[in-house]
Amino acid sequence: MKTQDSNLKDSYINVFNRYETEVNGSREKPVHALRKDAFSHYKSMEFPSTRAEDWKYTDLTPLLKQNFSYPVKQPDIRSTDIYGYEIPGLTENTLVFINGHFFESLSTIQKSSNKIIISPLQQLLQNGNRFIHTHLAKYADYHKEIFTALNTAFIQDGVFIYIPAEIHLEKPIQILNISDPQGIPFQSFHRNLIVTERGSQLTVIERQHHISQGTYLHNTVTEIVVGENAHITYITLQDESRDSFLIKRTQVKSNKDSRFNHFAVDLGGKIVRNDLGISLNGENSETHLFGFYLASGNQHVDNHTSIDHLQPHCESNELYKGILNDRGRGVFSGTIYVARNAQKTNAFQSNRSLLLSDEAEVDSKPQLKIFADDVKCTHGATIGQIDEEAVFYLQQRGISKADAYTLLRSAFAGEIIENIEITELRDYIHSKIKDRLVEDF
Amino acid sequence: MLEIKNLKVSVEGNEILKGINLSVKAGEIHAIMGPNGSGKSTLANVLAGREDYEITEGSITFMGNDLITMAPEDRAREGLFLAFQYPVEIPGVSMANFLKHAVNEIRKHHNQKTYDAREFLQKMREKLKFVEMDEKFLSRSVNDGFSGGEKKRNEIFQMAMLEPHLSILDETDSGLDIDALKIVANGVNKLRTKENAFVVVTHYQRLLNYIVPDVVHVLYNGKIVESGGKELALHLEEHGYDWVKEEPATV
Repeated sequence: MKTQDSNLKDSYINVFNRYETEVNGSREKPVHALRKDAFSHYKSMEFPSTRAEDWKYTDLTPLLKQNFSYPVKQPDIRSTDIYGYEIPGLTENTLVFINGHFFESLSTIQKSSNKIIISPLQQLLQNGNRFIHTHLAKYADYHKEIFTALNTAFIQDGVFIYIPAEIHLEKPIQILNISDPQGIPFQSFHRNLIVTERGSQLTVIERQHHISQGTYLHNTVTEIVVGENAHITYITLQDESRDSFLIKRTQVKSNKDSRFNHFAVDLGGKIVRNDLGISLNGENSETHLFGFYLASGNQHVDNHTSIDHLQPHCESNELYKGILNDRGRGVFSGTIYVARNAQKTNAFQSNRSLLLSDEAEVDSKPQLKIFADDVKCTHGATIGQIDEEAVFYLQQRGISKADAYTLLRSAFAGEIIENIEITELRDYIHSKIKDRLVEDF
Repeated sequence: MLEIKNLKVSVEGNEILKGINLSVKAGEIHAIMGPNGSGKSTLANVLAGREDYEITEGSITFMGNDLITMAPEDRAREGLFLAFQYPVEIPGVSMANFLKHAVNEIRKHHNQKTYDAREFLQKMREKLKFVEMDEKFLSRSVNDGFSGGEKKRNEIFQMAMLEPHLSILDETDSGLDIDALKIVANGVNKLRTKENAFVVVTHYQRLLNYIVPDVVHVLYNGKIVESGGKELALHLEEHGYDWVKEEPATV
């Protein structure tokens, strides 16, 4: 195992060297110094084993055995190929990426004001941009985390969004990531940076779908700055191949009086690891985090969340749920940190799982680190089965047993999904979940 | 409509029903009374098709079909309705969604056209009036956070929506205050026709002041020990169940 580990570890050195020659044009830009610094930190770290506390329940051996190609030739994709992934009523402001590469011909970007920036990251890295200079790689720390270091070292494709003060974007911005491995185990290092100013309002939807099955790796990092009194909603739906590896870090900095809502729905993937970090950096900021996943077959879904209450009068609310079947495995680790001066903190955390087979397993680990004395903090974890009384009740009203199970399982998901305010998206996610439940559960 | 012959039922080896005979015809209301533990709820649950009960002897015919071999959902689709003693809370399933599923399943079973959203809402609004319930109920999760009285009214509302041939009310009156009891009883009376029938299982005579039965049966120790008109209920009210226990079973 050690040798395999170092094989993958070393393989990036060649990849990075080749990559350096390829991105020649931007070698002299400041971003390249960032890449180099990140790569040197990568070299000084090892991929985590299950001996590391944060990776105790997630064994990366199957990932470390792989050999991923980078870069890969862009596949020939036409708009008809991705037509099926459109959500009616939600087609404006969509940035399309195929296997990690931006596809301009498939994207539509409409801006109501020329101060707004909605752009593929690559263009701005090339031309230089003061917001990028100020914010990029300032929140997702590449000094200590190897996957973030790699993502930063290969920073190239992704999305940059800037919303000026008091601008309310009525239509959501969509990032559509389509995977089409066509037998090639590719990897991508998608990077998003979202910066919002005072009093702005924005919803970003990021979806991941796959056209063909196969093995591949998405290493994604998203950094979000929530401006003072801004309202930001970030919704992710992941429906990748059941052979894919998905490593994602989302790092959010929330300013005073702001509100950040996040929904994370994971349906696909072989090994899925989501790290979500929120730092409540200003008084009276609020965050609401919802997660839902399905794990069947040998799927492994690991959600790590970490919320830092750094100022008084902030609130965090967290609900993560999962339905597991077969040998599906779920991990939830939720850390809540309350700093000494963060008085009047309200922090609520709940993790609920539905186990449908004897072999499915969930590990739930809440961690509270509280240094203030006037706080309200609760956490809870429940693991249960379908209520057979409810099944009988539904049957007694004429609903078949199979339909009763589907209805109850999708109701379990409903508690999360119902909170999504965009009707078209809510219905879309609900039907995706329902299809999977009928198919695999 | 319903024909029960010599029905014997055991739970985990204990015989609970020891030879029940009961015949219910269209247009009739039967009350089944009896002390706690006499087997009233067992009878209601066996009719609805709940598992965990072993039928060791006897037969049940409903609308000409052998009920025992039918799945619970098929019994419901054929028009058998159980108003639960303890209605189940189902968080995340709205009343409207639940009823739409149920009503359309039953209509499909009878080769009837399923309702569209507008027709369905109209029907729900109309039936809500039967039990004096607010339209807000429709967007709430089934029984989730309902008060005791709301849960029982909800059972009658569902009955009104599903329009069953035979309704079994399992202690629907237990725990209701007099106002809620009147609403529930009024609902049943409005739904009563010459074509449908009701079996009202109750511990108390009080409900029968409002839902007037054609026949009253006294169930004791797994057997019907006495059957009579509505005056039998009044007799039970006055004398309690002790006199039943002393008499030898007369079937």
